[in-house]
Amino acid sequence: MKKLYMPLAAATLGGVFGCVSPQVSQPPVEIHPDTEPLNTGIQSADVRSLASKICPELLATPEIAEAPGPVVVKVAPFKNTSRFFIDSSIFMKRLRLELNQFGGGRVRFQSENERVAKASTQVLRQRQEEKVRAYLKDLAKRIAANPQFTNKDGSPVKMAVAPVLGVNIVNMNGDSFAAMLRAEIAMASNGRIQFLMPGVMEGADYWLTGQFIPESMKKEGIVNLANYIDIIDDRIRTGKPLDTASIIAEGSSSYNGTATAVGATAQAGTSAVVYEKERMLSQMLHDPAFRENPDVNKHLDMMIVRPNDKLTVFEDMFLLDMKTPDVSGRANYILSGEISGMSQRRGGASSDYLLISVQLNDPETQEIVYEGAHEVKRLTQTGVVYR
Amino acid sequence: MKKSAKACVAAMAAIASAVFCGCTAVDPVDRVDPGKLAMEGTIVFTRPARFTPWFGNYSVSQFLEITYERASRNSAGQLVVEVGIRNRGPVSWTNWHRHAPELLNIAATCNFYGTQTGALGGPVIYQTNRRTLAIRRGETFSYKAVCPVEGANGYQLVLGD
Repeated sequence: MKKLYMPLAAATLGGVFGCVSPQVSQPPVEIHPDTEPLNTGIQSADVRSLASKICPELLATPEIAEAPGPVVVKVAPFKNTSRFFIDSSIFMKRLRLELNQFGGGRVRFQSENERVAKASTQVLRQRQEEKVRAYLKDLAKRIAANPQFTNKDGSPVKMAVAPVLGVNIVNMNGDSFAAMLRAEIAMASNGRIQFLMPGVMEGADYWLTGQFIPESMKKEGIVNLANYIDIIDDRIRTGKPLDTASIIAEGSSSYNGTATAVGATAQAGTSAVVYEKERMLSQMLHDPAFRENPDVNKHLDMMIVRPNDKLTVFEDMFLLDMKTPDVSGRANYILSGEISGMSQRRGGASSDYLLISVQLNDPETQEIVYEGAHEVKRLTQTGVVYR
Repeated sequence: MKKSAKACVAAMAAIASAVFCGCTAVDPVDRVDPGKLAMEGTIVFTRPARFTPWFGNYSVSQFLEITYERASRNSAGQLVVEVGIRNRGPVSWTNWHRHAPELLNIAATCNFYGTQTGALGGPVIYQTNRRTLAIRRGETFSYKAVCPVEGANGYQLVLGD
C-alpha cells in the first residue's frame, strides 16, 4: 500500500505545482473601441458612431446612390472648434474607411497623402520619359524620311546642332535630348544625313535646334527663339564659342554693369541689337529669378532651321515633362466636417456638448447636398486638466 | 488495506484527476442550440451583469419597453431598422427598493444578416458600433440603424447595460 501511496502523493503535488502560473506584471488590458473607461472628452466611440451613422446616409444620398458610376470625393480637413486638442482628421479617416469598406465602390476618394503624391509624380514622370524616348525615335524616322533633307545629287545633308534654348527651365537638359535625336536621325537616315562635330556650325546645310516651351500664364523667358538664333548666328560670325558657359561669362560683365553696351559692342564687333539680346540672354541664364523650375507642363519644340534665311523648314513639338499632377479638379464632391463644442465648468465637474457634423458639397454650386451629425453631451465629474 | 487508507487513496486520486483535467490545453466550446437561436427575437437584451437566483435579474430591460419596431428599405435599397425605446421606469416588484433613474444609459448594437433568419443564416454582414443611448424617464428614443451593405435581409438589435 505504501508503494502505491507515495507515487500518488508525488503526482498530486507535482500536478498542483505544475499548474501554478508564473507571476507576471499586469498585462495590458485591451478594451473595445466603443467603450471609454475614463469617459472624458471626445472618445473613440464618437469617431465610430459618426462613421457608422454617416456612412449609410451618405451612400443613400441621391447624388451618390443614383450616380451612373463611382463618385469621386475630395476630402477637406476637419475643423475643430471645440476645447479638445485631438487629431481631427481621425473622424474623416474612420468615415473614409467605412465608406471604402461598405460602399461597394460607389465612392472613390482622392488621396491626400503627400508621400503618395510624390510617388505618383515619380511614376508619371518615368512613364513620360519612356514616351519621350519612343517619340524621339519616331521623330527621327520622320525627319530621315522627309524628302527635303535629301540632296538630289546623293551627297549627304550636313546638319549642325545648335544648343537648345532652355528659357528659365532648369533641370532640363535640352542638349541631351537634341543629342539623342541627332543619334536617332543619323541611324534612321543610313548616312543620308550627317552631323557636324558639336560646336561647329559652319558649312551646315541645316541647324537642328529647339526651345523649351512652358505652359504658363506668366512670362517664363525674356529671349525668344528668333533672338536666340540671332545670337548664335552672330557668335558664329564673330568666332565666339557657342557654349552656355561662355555666353554667361561674357554677358555677365555687361549684366553686372562693369562695361557699357556700346563700349562692349565696339570692342567685340557685335551689333548693338545683338549685343542687347546677348545681354538679356545672359541675364536670363544668370539671374536666379529666371532659373526657378516652374511647375508647369514643358514642351520641347524641335526645329530644323535653314541658316541662310533663318527659315524653320521643319518643326515638331511634344510634351517633355509633366507638371505635378493635380487631380482635385476631377472631384465630384467635397467632403468636410466640423467639431463644435460648448463647455461649462463648475468646481471639479465639467459638461461638454459636442456636435460633430459632416457636409457633402458640390464644388460648382457650393450647395450642401448632404449634412449629417453626431451629437453627445457628457458630464465629467473628476477634475481633468485640459490644455 | 485499511478503510482509512482506501479513503485517502480515493481522495488523492480524485484530486489528481481534477488537477490534471484543469491542465488540458483546450476545452470544447458550447455550441448554441439552433432551436433556441431560432426562438430569439429581433430585439434582445444582453444578460445582465448582476443576477440573483431568488430575485431574478437586475436588468436594464426592466426599465424599458419597445413602442414600435419597423424594418423597411429606403430609396437606395438599404435596410432601415427603426425602433422606439421608452424608459418607463421600474415596474418589477423586485425593484421596489430602488429609485428609477432619471436618465438611463443603454448601449445598442444592430447586427445585420444576409438572410431573414438572422443569426441562423450566417455571419453578420454589417454591424453598427455600440452606441450609447441616453433616455430620460418617460421619453421614447427613436433608434435608427441603416445597413450600407446591399443584400441585408435580417437583423437583430442587441440592447444592454
